[in-house]
Amino acid sequence: MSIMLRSLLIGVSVFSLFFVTRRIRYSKMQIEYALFWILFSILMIVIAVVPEIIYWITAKLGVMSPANVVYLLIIAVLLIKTFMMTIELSVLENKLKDLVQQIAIDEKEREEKKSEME
Amino acid sequence: MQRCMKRGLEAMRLLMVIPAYNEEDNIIRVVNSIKEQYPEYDYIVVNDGSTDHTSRRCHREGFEIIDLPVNLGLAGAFQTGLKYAYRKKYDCVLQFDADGQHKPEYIESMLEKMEQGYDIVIGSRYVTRKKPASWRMLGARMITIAIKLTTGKRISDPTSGMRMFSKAMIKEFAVNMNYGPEPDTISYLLKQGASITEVQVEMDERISGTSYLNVTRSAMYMVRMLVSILFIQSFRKRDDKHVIMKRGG
Repeated sequence: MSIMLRSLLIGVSVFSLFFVTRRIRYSKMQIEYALFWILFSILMIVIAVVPEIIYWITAKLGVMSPANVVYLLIIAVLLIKTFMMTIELSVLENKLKDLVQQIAIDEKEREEKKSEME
Repeated sequence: MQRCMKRGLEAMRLLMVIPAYNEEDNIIRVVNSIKEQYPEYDYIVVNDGSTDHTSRRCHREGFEIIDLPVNLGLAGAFQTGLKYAYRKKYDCVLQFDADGQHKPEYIESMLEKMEQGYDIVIGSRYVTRKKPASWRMLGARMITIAIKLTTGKRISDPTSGMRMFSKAMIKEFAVNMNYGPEPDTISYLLKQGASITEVQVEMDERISGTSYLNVTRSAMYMVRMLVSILFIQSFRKRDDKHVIMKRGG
């Protein structure tokens, strides 16, 4: 891995760490969600500082360039994350739908009770 | 209760918040024992969108209960109880498990500490006793060390779910984000200068049902807690201005 790629990894990771912690600082992000970005950034920094990890995987996989393994790793992690977010989003939308329906039905029942009393 | 009044044990209005998720086997027994033995304490069951008969059974018994239409998780359910306590102007809140492992006979000694002006009182299993050597205790020990490292203070039982919160804490927990009833919030508040103490209590093993914490979940929980305590909490800023809008009657 070139020095350029390594410093880029470190730079972007440090920047994203800074950004995430700032969001937490002003209570704009839940810790559960921040956790992924923090661990991911730390992983990238570790890879940049100790490229031997990547060299070892490169040799094992029989890939030509270590840089490709880095991309592969990042893409894999992001794919998994997107998939998990899709699941979370589905659950969330379903909950929202349940809530809206419940509020609407409660409101209707209250109106019915009110008109019964009149 | 008036603030200026000399606050005796009777004067402090305590609300026990009991989050319940699928606890149909335990909840009736737990709440009935509180109602029979300690009628002086108010309680509220927060049914966290249970899929079993928790809600129906509680309603049949005439318990005080808030039904959440969807499952929010422990933090969301507990916060519901605190919002209720905040609205009803309670002086302190006790976080209490629905599975019967917490014993109400220790509430009084926790209340005494609360009267001495502490913000949070933790019902701890290991103030005077040693922790048993087990995998779960290794996790608890690591959290204790992490809190010690970042705040300089020792919390012997950070994962205890039996905690009492003062009036100021009720408001803070009720209106803010990232205030789950977990060790990382304790660590954060310690760092912010909150006064926290522990009282020796005993706890029962779960009588019915299984804890939702399996091995993978426990490991995930530990990672989350350690990263949160060691790293995230030091970046947080305390903000008391985020007050929810009061609903007019």
